[in-house]
Amino acid sequence: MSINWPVFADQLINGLTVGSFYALIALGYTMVYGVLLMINFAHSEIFMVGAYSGLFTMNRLAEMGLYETSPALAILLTFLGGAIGAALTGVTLERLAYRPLRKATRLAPLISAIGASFFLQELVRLLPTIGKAVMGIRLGGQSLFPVNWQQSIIKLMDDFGGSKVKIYPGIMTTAGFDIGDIHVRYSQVVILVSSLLIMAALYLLVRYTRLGKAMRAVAEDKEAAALMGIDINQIISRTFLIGSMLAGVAGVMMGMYYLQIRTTMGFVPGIKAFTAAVLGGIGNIPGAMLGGYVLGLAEAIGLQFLPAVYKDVVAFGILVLILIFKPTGILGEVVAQKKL
Amino acid sequence: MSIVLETRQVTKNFGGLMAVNRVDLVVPERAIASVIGPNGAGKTTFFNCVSGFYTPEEGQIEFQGQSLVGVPPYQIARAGIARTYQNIRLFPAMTALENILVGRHSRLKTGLIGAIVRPSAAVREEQTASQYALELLDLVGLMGEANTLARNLPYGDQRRLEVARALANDPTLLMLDEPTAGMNPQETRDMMAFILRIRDEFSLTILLIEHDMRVVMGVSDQVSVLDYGVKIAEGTPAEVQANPIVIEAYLGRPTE
Repeated sequence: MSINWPVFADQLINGLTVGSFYALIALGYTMVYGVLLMINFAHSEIFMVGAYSGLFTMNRLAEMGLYETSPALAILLTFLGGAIGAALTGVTLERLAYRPLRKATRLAPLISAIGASFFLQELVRLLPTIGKAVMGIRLGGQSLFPVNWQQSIIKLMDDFGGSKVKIYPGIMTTAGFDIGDIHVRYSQVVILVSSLLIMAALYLLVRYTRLGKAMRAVAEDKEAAALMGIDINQIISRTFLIGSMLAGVAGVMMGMYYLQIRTTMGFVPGIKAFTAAVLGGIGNIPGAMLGGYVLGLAEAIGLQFLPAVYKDVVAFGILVLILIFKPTGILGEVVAQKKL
Repeated sequence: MSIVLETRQVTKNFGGLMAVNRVDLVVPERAIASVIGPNGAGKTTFFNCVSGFYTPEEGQIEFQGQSLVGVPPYQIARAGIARTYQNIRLFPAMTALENILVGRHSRLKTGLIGAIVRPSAAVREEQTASQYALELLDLVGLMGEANTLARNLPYGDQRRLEVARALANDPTLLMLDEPTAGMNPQETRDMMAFILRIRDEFSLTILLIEHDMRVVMGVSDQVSVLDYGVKIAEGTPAEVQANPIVIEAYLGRPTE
């Protein structure tokens, strides 16, 4: 079998890009697992809401003309919009769907997460319908909301969600530079570099700040952490906030990169990112980062030897092998210690 | 002299077992008060009631005049009560220095925003906190171990680190649960001298749990004896030592 090097290199670059998405999403799984020992299966929907919130923000900014006057600021605000949308979703989810089950059996929050996952998908899909229904509520012949609000709110809800595929404006073009036969897109470089910067910032936050130390303390021993004056609920909420923001950023990036978003878009990247988190060692933050890139590259390399339809086989094959032969993952020693 | 901790008729039972039964305790400011008793006498349960992990079914617990019943543990810690555990509860995968910094958590302010944008005030706060943490490490003789993971420290060092971590919270009341457990006689004497020293240096009030009666005699201002959850005696060490009920609780009733 001969290797077509330009194609292979192209796939490796793509692998790094996709790996960035996986890594950013995987961090949310691993951080939540760290503090709650629970897999937040609704994390893939937090990522999806991030993509939708980003597009929604983008459309608002475009209406204001900000994308013409100062595109850099507009892009930054778009990412912020996606991150905030995802963060609100994640924090609300923790408060309503997981915290009441904190003392229940370990399976209960897991099932709650799966339920929340369907709920969020349907919520975004039905948002325009819900908007129309709520705006149509009448009390004693009187409309509950002022008539002039109704149309704009319905329009906004329609713009946010719905069952149709939504399209991100093509601001990430195929423009780039060539190294020999290999074409590298600027967008790929931007995604890789900004992801690495975000992850470095997260690592420093967890390693050195007061908040980061409190998060690690909660992950290691909740009772002892409370004894240090740490408000456990607050730290868990912050953990969801940060993990969800990372997923939101990944959602916006993915929307910009692949252009199309839909309410079911979270499932595959979500479960791949989960694989990445397990691969790196669930609960381990550098592990999730490493796992994301290893998985992205493994898929790219796999494509070199297997038909494209087998891409998912590579990812999930790795998951099965890891679970059989090294359930603690590549960097998983710390977690194994913690379980003792 | 004002009262730091006062409990009245504190009762905690576990499915019919009276672990703590109507316990009254008054701890004056800067005293070293010891709670002793045989294994299973309810000493640790009593501690858990004070630090908020258990809510007593009956009774009152007041710290500097404020009721603690129903207050969550993290707020009790913030109010100025720190404790150590009988079976050391450090954060094993964090360094000695980090353990102390976590202990200082509630005395520092930087939150989420500060952690991300890092204004100079946040950076300064971290530096001051690290400086103070190093001083505490020095105090307990662990200066060279700042970057050693807690789980890699020898047993005696872990014990002292746990005390240093509790001190980092600037407590008014320090509760020590069998601080000399597993120590040899020399280490035990050192620990007792150390407890007297920190009481004076940090103006602490100390509540001490001990299993071994002899250990507390030298340092305690007052001794309370628990047996099957009930306070059976109280007084100065000499009084308690001479009390026949106490001797019986420890040695059993002589069979005639």
